[in-house]
Amino acid sequence: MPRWGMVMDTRRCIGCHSCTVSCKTENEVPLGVWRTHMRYYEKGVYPKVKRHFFPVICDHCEEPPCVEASENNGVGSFYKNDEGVTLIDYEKLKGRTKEQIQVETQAAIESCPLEAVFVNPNTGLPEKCTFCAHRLKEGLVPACAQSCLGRVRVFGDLSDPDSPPSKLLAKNASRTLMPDDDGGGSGVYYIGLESMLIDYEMMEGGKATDPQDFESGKISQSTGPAFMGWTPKTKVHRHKK
Amino acid sequence: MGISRRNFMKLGMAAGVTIALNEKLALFARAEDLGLGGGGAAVGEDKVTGTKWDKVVPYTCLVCNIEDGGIAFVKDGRIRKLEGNPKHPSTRGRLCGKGGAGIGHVYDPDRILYPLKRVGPRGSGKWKRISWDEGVSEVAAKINEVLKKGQPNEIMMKYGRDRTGGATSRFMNTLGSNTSVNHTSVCESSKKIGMEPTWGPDIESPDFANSKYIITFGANILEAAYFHNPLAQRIAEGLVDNNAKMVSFDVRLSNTAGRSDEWFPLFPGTDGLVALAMANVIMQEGLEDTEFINDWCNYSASDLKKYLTQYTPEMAEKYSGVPASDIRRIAIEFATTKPAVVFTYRGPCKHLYGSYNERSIMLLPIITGNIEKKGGYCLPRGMGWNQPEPKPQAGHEPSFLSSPPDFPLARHKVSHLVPFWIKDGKQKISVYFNYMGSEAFTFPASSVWGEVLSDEKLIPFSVTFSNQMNETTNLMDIVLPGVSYLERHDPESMPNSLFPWLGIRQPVIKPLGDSIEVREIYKMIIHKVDADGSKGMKQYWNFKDGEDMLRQHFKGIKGLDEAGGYDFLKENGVWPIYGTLDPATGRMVDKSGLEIVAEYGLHMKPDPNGKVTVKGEKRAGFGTADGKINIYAKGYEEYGFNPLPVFKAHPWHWDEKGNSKLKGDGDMVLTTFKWNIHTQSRTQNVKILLEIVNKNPAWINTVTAGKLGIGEGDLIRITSPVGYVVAKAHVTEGIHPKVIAISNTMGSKFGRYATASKDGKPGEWGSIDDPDLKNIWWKAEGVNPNPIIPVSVDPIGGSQGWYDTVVTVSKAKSGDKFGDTQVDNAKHYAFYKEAMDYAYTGKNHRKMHPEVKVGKLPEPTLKKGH
Repeated sequence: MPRWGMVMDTRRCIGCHSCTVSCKTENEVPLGVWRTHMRYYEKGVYPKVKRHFFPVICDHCEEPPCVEASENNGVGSFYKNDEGVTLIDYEKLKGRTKEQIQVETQAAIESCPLEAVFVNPNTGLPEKCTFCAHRLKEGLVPACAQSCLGRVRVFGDLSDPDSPPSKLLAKNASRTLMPDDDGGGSGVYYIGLESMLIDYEMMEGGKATDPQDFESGKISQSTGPAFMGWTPKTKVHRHKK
Repeated sequence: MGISRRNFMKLGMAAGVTIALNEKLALFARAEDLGLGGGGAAVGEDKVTGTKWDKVVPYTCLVCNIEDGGIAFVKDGRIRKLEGNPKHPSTRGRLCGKGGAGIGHVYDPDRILYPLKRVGPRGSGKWKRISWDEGVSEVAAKINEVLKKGQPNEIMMKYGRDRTGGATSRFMNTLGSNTSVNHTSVCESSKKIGMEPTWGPDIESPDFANSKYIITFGANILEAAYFHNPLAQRIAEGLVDNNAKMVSFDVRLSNTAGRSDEWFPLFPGTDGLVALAMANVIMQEGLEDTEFINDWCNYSASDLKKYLTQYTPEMAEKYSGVPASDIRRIAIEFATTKPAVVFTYRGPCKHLYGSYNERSIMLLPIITGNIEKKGGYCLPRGMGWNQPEPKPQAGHEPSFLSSPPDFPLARHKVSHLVPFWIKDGKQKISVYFNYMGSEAFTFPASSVWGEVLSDEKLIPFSVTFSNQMNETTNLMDIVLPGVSYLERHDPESMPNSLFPWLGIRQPVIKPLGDSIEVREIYKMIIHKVDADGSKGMKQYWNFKDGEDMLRQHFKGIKGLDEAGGYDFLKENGVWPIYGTLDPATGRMVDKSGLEIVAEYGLHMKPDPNGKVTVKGEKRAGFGTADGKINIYAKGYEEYGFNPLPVFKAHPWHWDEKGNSKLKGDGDMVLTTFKWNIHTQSRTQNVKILLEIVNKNPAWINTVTAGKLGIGEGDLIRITSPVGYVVAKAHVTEGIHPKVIAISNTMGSKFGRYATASKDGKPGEWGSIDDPDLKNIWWKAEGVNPNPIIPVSVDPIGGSQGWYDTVVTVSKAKSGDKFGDTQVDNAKHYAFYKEAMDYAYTGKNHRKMHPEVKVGKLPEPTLKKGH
């Protein structure tokens, strides 16, 4: 069984939004909500200023907080399939009342530090990144990985040492976003975050982004809601050979 | 189908293609072959659903003008997804954000889907639906009135993004009119006029993927410019796979500058001077490629070295603000790191004397011998197609508006002075056509276009082929709506990588509503104009339909004929197919799995008819009269311009001693910019793009803002010599302290997405509503800076001085509201007069060129040929 995962090689990212757009069209996501986000960070003092581009997606964690939250607050519609993809089984929500669905959805939303879960405004149902499971089934990579101009998003079977993401992880230092992972349980790994984060206090718990930054346009472009005070503490990933 | 997981894994990750068993590497199965992929919610492990497509159709993108190859996925008659064409050597299967969102052009709920005729005063927004026959008949009748007088030049075509591949010029030639005016002078005309006399073609092909050192001057290639998508892909490869260093000179921290290893902010218009100083350093240090200069240039290395000594790094620091030590260091790094490349699209050319800036920067790859090298600064590789026979001849009489005599070198025209010339009566216009451009929004002095287009005496009758109601369409008399780029036929090519290609546009779906593609509209008009055949026009419009015309375009092209001609293009979208997309690396590979290799050194190819002999053999050379790189441009000298690259300090910014005239804290230069999500006007109702960027605040430096008491998000007034706008401030470290920058991509007052009108009244012109409208969550906060930007003209290349406008910035005055715009067109007129003073016929010309010794200058002559 493959264990699907994605490496984000942020050294290659140019913040072009090809990923956010292709995800929207592939999955017919309505306006106002996103399954993947692109964050911009500007740091430095004139004239030594840099801009970093930080793509974020559901990490498809090994121990997903959203799965636990949906189990404890509803019928456990959130689940992890045996290929490592965290999905929502809408069949389970059939027959539930609107309030019951809302409670389960809110619990899942609040449980996720990446804000990967949202309510689809057209259906009222919870929604999140599925690693384009419908594409995986046919041997296609997720839409975002297919369209990425810089080849930032490298998708494949993390349990296969010869897959492109595994090869990248073997050669490059990487980090995961989920603070409690011991380095083997996340579905998404980041290469190149050091230059973005280390100088800029994010490693030590500094604010990644102020919610006001998004509203005021301080960050020139972003998609998705501001991370509500969440600090992306990252953890060094030790790749298991 | 027999796709097993194990085979998929062995061959590597499927980047949008499925590897099928037993298939040769040259025939990768594609998602579209399988009719698979697409949207759908994951329901359960075995219940994961996806879409099986009805058809997958290759096309060429036109959200901007990079012309990427795409494939469109259709289900139930609706386009659901756009992806890059994996067979395209430039695009390599990936579309940028704009390209992926292009579906929004087709299903824009405010799109115009049937012909309209205005029923109120111009600009009142009152329209009635008319039939095609009524619209075409009225247009033909107006044309015939003009033709009866024997004055075909009174018929004007003002076009922007014309990618019909010959239909628009055929239309105008058929009518016998030479009054065709493009938009190139507000794009990169001075870059072209800087490059063309120097080495032939009007653009370079930088080999970023293989470069070790990249310098960009005012070139935001990671977001825009020619050719954003293919070149940005290759910059990522160069930077990460090839360890290239990237350095950016830019007044603002664009994404390109932000991603660069070093960003050097500099004062607007001084890029050329910095390059001249760098070239000087390179030659002083003896780091130039003397052999290349002496073999290939029409100016010797020793003469050039002497000439450049006047451009010291200290002089460059004085004007640009870039420290002399950095100029020296970067020059030496550039010259000693091979291969190296520069890129300029398109900041440096949009200034007074922008042509000189371009030629100055070209010196860098020339003197270091990086021309046509792998990883260097290469010639563009394009392809062409035939025009169907018979071909109409061009009109007899030259047109002042199209070939302005005061700008003889500006062969790409000076479109932004046209409304002033019309006001001055330089040429009478009776029928005005507008195609793929919104000049009353996107041009400098846009308010003057508004004034002229509203004036029924100056423009008695106007017609547009636009399918968007916008600031310009709103001023027309008749709308004959063309179709989106996904519903039409066009031949295509663009030198957007090192591999030349031919492509097409073809209807992915039938045109929506009652809209018709423009080449068929032209044909209808001509057939109505020449209904009885007495004018002999119909012979030039004898094609059956768009596809028939394309077959005629592509007949007789060597190689393509053998591959299957137009049918090959219909099926694959592009020809030739150089290799297959390797899903693991994103590169195009040949049958043995190695990346396809471009040809280099085109100028060195032996050619018995070559004009340049190098190393004992005649060589193909460059596209100039003598086959050499013309560092010395004799054509410039004829009109009293400097034949060598030179720096001219802008009199708006500098006094004669070189002191800045921008003395007050609030005095700065207004610049505009594009970002990766929008184009100058067409994308403002593409919903997916608009929710990413729907505001265009004015970027202002933190220290400058502090001095003016301006905080983030504050309302500010930006006052130019012709008026003011009220915008919101974005205080940032990422901009030069004497520059304020507003993106020129927002501010249209038309369209429910552009105006964030959730509850606006339903689409008025036939379009189907979009349920997503109720999900609009943003506020429309766009302001168009173009009304307060006066015209200015590079007298050589004709470029608008987009990035020269001096403004005063202050906190907004009480009573000011966001978006307030005040402008005085009489003041715009004064700037037009000043622009004429800088022309070679004007009173400023000689005093701006004391170093050029010329006798009598040629008389301005109205002749065809611009």
